[in-house]
Amino acid sequence: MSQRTAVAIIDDEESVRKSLVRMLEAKGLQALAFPSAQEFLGSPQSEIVSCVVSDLRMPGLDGLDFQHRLRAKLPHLSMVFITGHGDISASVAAMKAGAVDFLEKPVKGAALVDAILRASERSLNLRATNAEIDALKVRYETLTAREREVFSLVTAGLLNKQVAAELGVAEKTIKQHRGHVVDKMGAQSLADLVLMAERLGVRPTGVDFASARGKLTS
Amino acid sequence: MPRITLSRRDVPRRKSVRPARALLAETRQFEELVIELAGAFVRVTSDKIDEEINLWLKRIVLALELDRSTIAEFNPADGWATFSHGWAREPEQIIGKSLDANTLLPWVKRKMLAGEMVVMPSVDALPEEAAVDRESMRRHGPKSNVMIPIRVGGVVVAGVGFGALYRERSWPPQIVRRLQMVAEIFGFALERKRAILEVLQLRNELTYISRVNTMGELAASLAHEINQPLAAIRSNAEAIQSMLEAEVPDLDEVKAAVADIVSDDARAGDTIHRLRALFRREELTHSELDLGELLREVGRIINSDAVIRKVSLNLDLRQPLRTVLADRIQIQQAIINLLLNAFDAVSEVQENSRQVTLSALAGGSSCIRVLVRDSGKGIAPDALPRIFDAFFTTKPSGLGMGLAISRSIVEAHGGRLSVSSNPGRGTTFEIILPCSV
Repeated sequence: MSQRTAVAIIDDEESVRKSLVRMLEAKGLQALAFPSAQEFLGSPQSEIVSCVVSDLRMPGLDGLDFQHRLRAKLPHLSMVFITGHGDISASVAAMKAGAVDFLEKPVKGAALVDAILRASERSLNLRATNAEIDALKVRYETLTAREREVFSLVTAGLLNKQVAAELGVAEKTIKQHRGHVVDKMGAQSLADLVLMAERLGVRPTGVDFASARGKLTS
Repeated sequence: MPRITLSRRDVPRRKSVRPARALLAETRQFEELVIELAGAFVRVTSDKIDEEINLWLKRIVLALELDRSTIAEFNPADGWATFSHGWAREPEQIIGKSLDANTLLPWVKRKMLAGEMVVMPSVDALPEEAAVDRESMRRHGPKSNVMIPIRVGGVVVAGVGFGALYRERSWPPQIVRRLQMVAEIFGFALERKRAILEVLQLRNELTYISRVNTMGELAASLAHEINQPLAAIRSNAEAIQSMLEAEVPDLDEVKAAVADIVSDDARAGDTIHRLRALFRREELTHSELDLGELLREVGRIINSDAVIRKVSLNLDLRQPLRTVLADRIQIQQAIINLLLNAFDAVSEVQENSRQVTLSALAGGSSCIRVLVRDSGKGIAPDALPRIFDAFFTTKPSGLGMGLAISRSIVEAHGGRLSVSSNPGRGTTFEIILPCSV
């Protein structure tokens, strides 16, 4: 990576913020400090960090609420919680809600950096996946209504003639639509197409093969 | 223990026989004196008991034309007797001195401890078995006296003596009986004094235990208070380690990190010092307190707890505030108690409506008012009058001592603790403390 990993540090105590920033910078990371979750969410810098390190309990918006808000605004961002309050129930809740790690103060530098790197990797992967899905969505928008129907039925596993029977058109027409779908979506194979359908959430999960006229249950 | 030195008098021994009429008059007057004494001891307050005893010893000495009267307390461990009260015509420092009763007055000591009084019209009147005592008396002591045991709690703890140093005199039974009554009255008074002291001691003990208990409830808070600076120190130290590994370390940054470590260390030490004071079992030490500063410190101590319980704690200090002469730890204890109660009260309302306000303002020109207001559900009108009672609690796991002790602390400082509450709108506790003059 040509860029340093950027991490946001959120704690209501100045001495803790300063010292964490100092330590992480000395270990080669880029650390940006915020005194509260609200300030972080309102800052443009929230877009460039790949990980958030936050105290669990703070006045105002505290750790768990923050986690929910963050998921809504920046869904790819992973969180690492640190706390000096030592309450176990909150830590369990934090992990269940998807935090990458939970560390108790005083935090060991090595452990924190490790958690940050794991979190950053996860954030980057999520970001990449989301980017891919966004690209697929754009292509899906270009399909006609009929083409979308064919897309769904074909990726459900129906043969061309079954799809034709289902939609009440000639098999030849289905083959044409199918060709357009493959082109527009940029699929390399049927398997590829099926995966795309999965990711877009347009692949039906239950199909009554017995009756060709059966309703699609997705 | 210093030996008592009685001055020797070179006075020829002379038996003095008083005319019958004089004796009768004396008896009657003495009777009235004793009745007056009895009345005085019914009324006397426990803190004035010692003063009162000395006063009456004097009056008895004068009324009976004696020379000295003393109360000596026995130390059962070593048999020595220490003078705790007394009055003499010749001013001499009696109170506080001790004498070795084993060596000097063994027979008298035996008698007293057995609950028997000793009436000695003359030294020669003492029996053979009191030979040692006789010798001591001849050399150092009175020519004529009466010694009566004093019981406290059923046990002989002291003896009161009425003596003539230069003349022998007779002791009519009526006088002796009255003197026995006096000894009994002194016994009751000393017992009362001891009981009050015990109560005070117990109260101090209870206050201390309650304080430790309260601090225990704040354990999470306290751990956090110390943990924060420690965490910062650690991170700074690790940063310095990393920085020093560089080819060309940034020494300015290293210096800044070191400075932060020093300051955080001071902060942690300060916190521990403050907390230790709260855990110490110390005698009351009154000092001039700046309530603004005291409340700010309370705010720091309890802040972590507030954050964990999602309580919004507001500090409202109206300057200027005059100083209050009080014991810092106990006043803090009372206020922390009220705040913890307030936190409990608001735990029942939803998270973003949990408000507790701690405020202080001048109350007229002579006192300071400290208020703890919460946005909880309030206290039911039928529970309100009992809220300060010991062992009254609405909490399933509560002892019910917190408010009783807080009130006792405030009143011991000459102040008042009161409450007002509106169901549905919250509760306010008010402490009024007199300012230092």
